[in-house]
Amino acid sequence: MIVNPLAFFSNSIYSILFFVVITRSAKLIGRNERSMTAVFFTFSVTSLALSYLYWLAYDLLRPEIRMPFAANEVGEMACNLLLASALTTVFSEKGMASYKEAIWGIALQVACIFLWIGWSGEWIQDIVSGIAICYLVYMIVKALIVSEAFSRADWIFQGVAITALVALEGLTFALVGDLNRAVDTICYVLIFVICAYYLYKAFAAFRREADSKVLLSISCVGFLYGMNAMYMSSEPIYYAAELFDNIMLLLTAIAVKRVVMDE
Amino acid sequence: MIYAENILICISVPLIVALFFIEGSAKRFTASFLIGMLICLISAYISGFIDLASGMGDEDTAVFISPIVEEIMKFLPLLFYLLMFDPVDDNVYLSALGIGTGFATFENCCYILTAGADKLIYIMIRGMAVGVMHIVSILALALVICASRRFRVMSLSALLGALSFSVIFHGLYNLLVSEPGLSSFIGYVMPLLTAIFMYFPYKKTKTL
Repeated sequence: MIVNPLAFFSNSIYSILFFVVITRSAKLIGRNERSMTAVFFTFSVTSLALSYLYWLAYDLLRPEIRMPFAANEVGEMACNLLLASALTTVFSEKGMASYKEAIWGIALQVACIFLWIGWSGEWIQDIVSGIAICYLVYMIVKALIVSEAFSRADWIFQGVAITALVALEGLTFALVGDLNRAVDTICYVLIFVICAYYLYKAFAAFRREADSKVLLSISCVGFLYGMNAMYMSSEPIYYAAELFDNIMLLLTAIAVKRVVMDE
Repeated sequence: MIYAENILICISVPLIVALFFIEGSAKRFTASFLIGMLICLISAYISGFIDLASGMGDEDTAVFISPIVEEIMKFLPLLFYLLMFDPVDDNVYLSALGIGTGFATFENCCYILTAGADKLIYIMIRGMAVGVMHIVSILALALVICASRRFRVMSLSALLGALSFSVIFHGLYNLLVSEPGLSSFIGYVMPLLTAIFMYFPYKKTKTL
């Protein structure tokens, strides 16, 4: 018996999608020195695929038993760390021009980790996987600054919108009843407004054939946000956030291809 | 019950003696092979301890804890070798394969002594599944390490990422083979397919 048919179906579809991305990305390996980015990206997506497959297999084999800890999150952690390493091969400059964006980004991510702990109660697991995500946040902010992918207005919009989202999500812990539901609804609206914003930025960059580094940094920030949006959402809205996240992963794969071919 | 320490001594002694008479790559591989067998034993101790301390039970420990313990234990000697001797890529691969092979060999020896070796088909499945799985997981680790060294992005994130990759691969294998039927079959085939899939990136990365 399958506990959640929708989860089973979406995991199956995404596993196939990842397999396609992995084979396409693996073909880039060995072309030139830049293909090291493809090496890390291939391993990163493979880790994510293994994580999905783990969940799928667990759902099939032990539908009634809760995992003692979410072992598949090890795969997600590998994905984040290896994606950060892939970015390091492109944005290898030491330090960055401004640290305030990175500090703010990491602070927001830490706030998200506290929210996850509040929701799940899994202290150690959320902190360990959160540290890996914080490093990815640092690398993505560095990529965005170095590639100059975002204007000042974009930075302000992101800062305000995501801070408001985290604050409102925090507020739901203190509220009960109708007020709680109202704030929760506002949070979901805000989550998908930000998703739409990242989708627009990514597609606009692809349409105007922006520099491959710009494409890579925008698609990666979308992927990172999508991951947080997934963790903030409950079913069935979770699947919409998951769809957004995987669209961003596809765009990242295309950006990686451009990075390798540009050289 | 088997006496794993005695088995280790029995297999190790000829190899240790051989170490004095061989040089170069053969010596490096044999030494790594010995280390692989030793860390297999230590991993079993640690997993056994966690099993007793947490009360998770044998099956849950094998599915959830052993992959983490075993992959970390395989990673540690490789990390030590990298940091202390700064070897060339070929030696990293050689040592990684030695550790993986030693680990798998010792685990298989203990399994055969426990479960018997009368059914050739099971022994072949065991050899081609677990044996290859340990090699694939540590080879993936070595591949990422060598790639990051070559591009001068050798960092904690790359190392931990590669380690986590090995853990999830090993964890998925253990989960699939924990139940009989189709899932076991997929689990047994998975390492061999991954080995074939990894062969091409491995060759291409080496030519860069």
